[in-house]
Amino acid sequence: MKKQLALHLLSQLLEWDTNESTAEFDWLRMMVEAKFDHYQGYTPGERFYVHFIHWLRQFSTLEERRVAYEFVKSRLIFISQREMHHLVSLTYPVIQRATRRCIADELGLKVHETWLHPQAESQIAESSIRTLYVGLSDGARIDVFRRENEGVISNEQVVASSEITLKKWVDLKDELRKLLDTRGYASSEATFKRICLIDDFTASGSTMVRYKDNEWKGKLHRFCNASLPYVEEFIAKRALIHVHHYLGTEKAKAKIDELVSAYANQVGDFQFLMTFSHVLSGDVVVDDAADEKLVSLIKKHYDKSIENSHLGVDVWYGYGQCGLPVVLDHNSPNNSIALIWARGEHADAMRPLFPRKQRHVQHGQSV
Amino acid sequence: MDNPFKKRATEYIADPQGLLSLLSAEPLKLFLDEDEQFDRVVIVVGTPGSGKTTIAKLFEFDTLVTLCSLVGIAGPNLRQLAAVLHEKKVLVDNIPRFLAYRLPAGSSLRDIWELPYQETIKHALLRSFIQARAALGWMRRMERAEVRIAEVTIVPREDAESQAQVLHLNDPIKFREHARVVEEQIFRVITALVPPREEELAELPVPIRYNLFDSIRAFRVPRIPGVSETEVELQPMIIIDDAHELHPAQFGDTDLWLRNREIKLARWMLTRVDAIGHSDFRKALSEAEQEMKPGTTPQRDRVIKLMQKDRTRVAFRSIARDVSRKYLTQMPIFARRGLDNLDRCLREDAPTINQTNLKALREEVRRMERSPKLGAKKLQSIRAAVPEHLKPDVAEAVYRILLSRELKKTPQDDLFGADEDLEPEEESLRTKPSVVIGAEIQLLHQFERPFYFGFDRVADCSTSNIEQFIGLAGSLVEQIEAKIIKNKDSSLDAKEQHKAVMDRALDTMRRWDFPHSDAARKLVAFIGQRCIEKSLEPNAPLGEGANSFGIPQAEMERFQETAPALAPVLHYALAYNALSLKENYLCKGKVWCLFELGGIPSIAHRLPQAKGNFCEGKLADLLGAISE
Repeated sequence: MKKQLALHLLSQLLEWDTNESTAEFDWLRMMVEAKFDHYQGYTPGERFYVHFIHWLRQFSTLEERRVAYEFVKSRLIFISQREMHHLVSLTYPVIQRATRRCIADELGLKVHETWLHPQAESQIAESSIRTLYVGLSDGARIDVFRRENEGVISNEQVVASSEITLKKWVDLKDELRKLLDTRGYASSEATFKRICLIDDFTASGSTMVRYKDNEWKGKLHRFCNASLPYVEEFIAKRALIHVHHYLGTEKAKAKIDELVSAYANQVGDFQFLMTFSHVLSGDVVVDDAADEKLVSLIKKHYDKSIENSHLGVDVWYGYGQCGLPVVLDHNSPNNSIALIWARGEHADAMRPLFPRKQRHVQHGQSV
Repeated sequence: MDNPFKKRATEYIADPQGLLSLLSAEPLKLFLDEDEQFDRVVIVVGTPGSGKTTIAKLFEFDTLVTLCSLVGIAGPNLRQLAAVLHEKKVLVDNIPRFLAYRLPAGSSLRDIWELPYQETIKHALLRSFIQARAALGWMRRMERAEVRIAEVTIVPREDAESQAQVLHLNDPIKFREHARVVEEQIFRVITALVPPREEELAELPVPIRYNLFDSIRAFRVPRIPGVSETEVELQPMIIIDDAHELHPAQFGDTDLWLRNREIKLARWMLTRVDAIGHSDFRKALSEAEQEMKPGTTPQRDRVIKLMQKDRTRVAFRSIARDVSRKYLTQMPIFARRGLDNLDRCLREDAPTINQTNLKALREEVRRMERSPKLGAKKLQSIRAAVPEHLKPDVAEAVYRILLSRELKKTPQDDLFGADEDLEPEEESLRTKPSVVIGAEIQLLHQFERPFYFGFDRVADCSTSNIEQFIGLAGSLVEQIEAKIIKNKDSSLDAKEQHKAVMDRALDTMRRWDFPHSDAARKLVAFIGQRCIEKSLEPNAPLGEGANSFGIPQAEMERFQETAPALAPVLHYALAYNALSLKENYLCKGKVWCLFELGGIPSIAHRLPQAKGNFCEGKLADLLGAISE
C-alpha cells in the first residue's frame, strides 16, 4: 500500500485535523520505517499500514480507535532486530561479570580486586575456557552471539541446540582439551564448569521451569535431566548452570528465581544462576488496574475462538494473563495482550496487528 | 530524501552531487565579496545554521570538480552556482583554482590540549597534526576526483629546498606516506592511555614536527578527468571547521600561526561567535557595517568575515526563495504537483477579526472620537489618512493609533521639544506602512489576529540565518504535506501559517541548551516584555513596534568591567541567534547600543522584525533581568 494513501486513510479513520495529522504522520513514518515494517510476520504488500488500518477498523467508534492508536503509540514495546542484537551483545559481559564474582567469592576477594590478582585472573581465564554456551531455541540467536564474541569465545564452546548427543559431547571435550592445552592449562580437567543456557525472552518463566502434576517440567529440567549421565566425564561436578535471557519481565524473574531455588534443592548435582540482559519493568504490564478505556477495549474485542488447551480461557491479557504489550521482531509472544496478535475465527472477529506465528501444535493443528 | 527541511543542513550529505542539488548561489554572492580572502587567514564567524560548513563543503576539491564536470549538462541551478564561483574567481575557465580540504576540529585536536606537556609542545603537536591531516586530506580529495596521485607535482616555495627533501615533496607517494606516518605517530600520543613523557617525545621512532604549510606553494595536476586534459596548478587551501571546538589557547595559537605571511595557502577558520573574543566580534560587527573601500584599509594579516551580515531583507528573501525551491524539488509529493515554490502554498490574505471583536474595537474608537479635543473636521482628516485598501479591522486599528497620536498632541510647545515621532500636521496626510504593521501587532496581541504569514515575513523572521529559515519553513512544509496527504488543498491560510510558525518558535526556544541559555532566556524575556509594552502603547510611538532594547553606547564601552556577569550570557546569546547587537546607533541625537531580539524570540513574543525600533533603558536593567 502506498504510504501516502495509508496515511490518508489513517487520518480519516482517526479524524485527525491538519495539526494532528502533521504530528502523527511524522511519528508514524519514523516508527514504521525503523521498526514496524520489519516485523517478520508480515508479507510483501501487507506490511504495517495495511494491518494497522484493518486492525483499527474493527473498532466501531472513533473513541475506541483513538484509544487503540494511543495504546500503540505510547504503550506498545516493539523490540526490533537491532535492539535484540544489542541485547545479545550485552550477554557476554554479564556472564563474564558473574564469573568474576564467583571467583572473587572463592578467593575471598572483592570483585574489583580480581583485576590485579594474578590467581584470580588465571582462574577467570580458565573458567571462561571451560564454559559451554547452549542456545535453547531459535530465538536465542546463537549465531549472532557467536559472531558478537568472535575471538573471545571459541566456536567449539557454542552449541545451537540443547539436545546434545554423546558423540557431540565427545567432540566438545576433545576441543576443550586442545584449548586448555594451548592456553597453558594442561593440568586442568577437560570438563565444563559452567554451562550457559541462553534464550531470548521469558514473560512468565514457566517455559524455563515449572512444577506441574507432581513433576518438574520445562527447558531447564529437560537439559539437566539429559545431562546428568555426563557429569564427571564431560561436565564438572557441581557445575554451574547459568540461565541467561536477553529479555524478561519482573514477574518472570521473580518466578524463575523462586522455582529454580526449589529445583536446586531437589537436584543437588548442579548449581544455578539466572541473569538477564534487560528486565522490563512491571509498569509496562496492562491489567485491570490500567486505563479503563483500554481495558474495556481489550475485553470487548476479545474472541473466545482463540482459546485452546495450551492458552487457556479468558486470555484477553495473553497467556498466563501476563498483560504484556511486547512484540518481538520475529514473532509476537502469546503472553502479550491478545488484541495485538490473535486472529479470531469469524469474519468479524478480532484481527491482529502483529499476527503471531503459532508454534505449539496439538494433534496436527497449530494453536 | 524524505524531507530535506528536517535534516540539519548539509552535514548529512556526503555525496557531492547530493550536496550541489541543495546549494543556493545567492548566499555566495553576498559572502564572497572581498578579494583578500585567499591570501591571508580568514576567520569566518557565524551562528549555527548560518552556512559555514555548507560553504566549506562546496569549496572542497571533489565537490568543485563534480560541479565543473556537470555544469555543461546540468540545469540552471548548477549553472548559476558555477557562474557565481567564476565571478568570485573560485573557478577559472571551468577549472577549480583551489585544492581545498575541510578539516573538522573535532575531538582529536582538542584532546591535544589535555596532554601533560608544556604549552609550546602542545601547540607544536597541534600544528603538526593539522598539517599532516591537511596533506592526507588533499591527497584524498584528489583521489576522489580521480586524479592520479603518482603524476601529481608538489611545488615547493622558492626557498624551501631543504624542507622539500625532508617532506618528500618530489615524490607524492612518499609525501603521502610520510604524512600518514606522522599523523599516526601523533595520534598514538594523543590516544595513549599514558602519554609518553615530554622528554620521550624527541625519541619517538618518527619525528612529530611536521612543517608543511610554509614549504609548499601549489599542487600541479596533469589532468582532472572530466574537467581538464591539460596541466592545472592548484593553490592548496585548508579550512578548519568548527574551530570553536579548540581550546581558546589552541584557537589563539592557530590563528597566530596561520597569519604567517610565508604561508602561501588559502586558510580559513570557521567558528561560532563564542570562540572569538567578544571585543573582536564587536569590532567585526561594526566593521561590517562600514563601507569597505578597496585600498582604504590598512594591511591586514587577518580578516574576520561574518556569515550573517546585516543583509537587506530583500537580499535574504531572495536566498530563502532559492533555498526553498531547491528543497521542495527534492520532495516527490510536491514535485508531482509542480509545487516548487513555497510562496504559492502560503496564502497572504489574513482573516478579519470576528464581528464581536470588531464591534468592541469600533466602540473603543467611538469613545476616543468623543473627546472634546477632536473636532469633526479633524476626525475627517484623520480618517482620510487611513489607507483605503486595508481590511476593516486593520483600518480601524490604524485609525485608533492616529487618534491616540492626535490626542497626545498638546497645542503649546513641549518643554523638551516637539515629539519627533509625529510629523507636522500639514504633512501627516499619509500613514506610513510601519503604522499599519504596528496596528497589526496590536491586533495580534489584543485579538489573536494572525501576523506571521506569507513567505516574506517568514524569511524576515529568520534573521538572515538559513538554518532558522529552513526550520520555520520546514514546519510549514510539514503542514502542507499533511494537507496534501489528506487530499485537501495544498496551501495554508494565514491562521495555519501563524500557528505553525509560533509553535516552532516557542519549541525552538524551549530547546535552547547552549551555555548560559537559562540566563539568555531571562534576558530575552525581559527585553521581550519591555518591547511588548512599548509596541502596545495606544499611539504606537515606534510605528511597527519595538524589538530591541537600547542602552547608551557609553555604558556598553565599559560593560566588561561594570557587568561581568552579563558578558558570557551576551556572548552566547549572540552566538546562538537569541540576540544581535547593533552598536553606535544614532537616534534622537544620542548614540545607543541596541540589543535586538533574534527572529525566533521576536516571534515567540509576538513582535515585529523592525530594525532600529527600541525601548530605552540602562545596562543595569539587563543585569537585573539575569540576576532574578
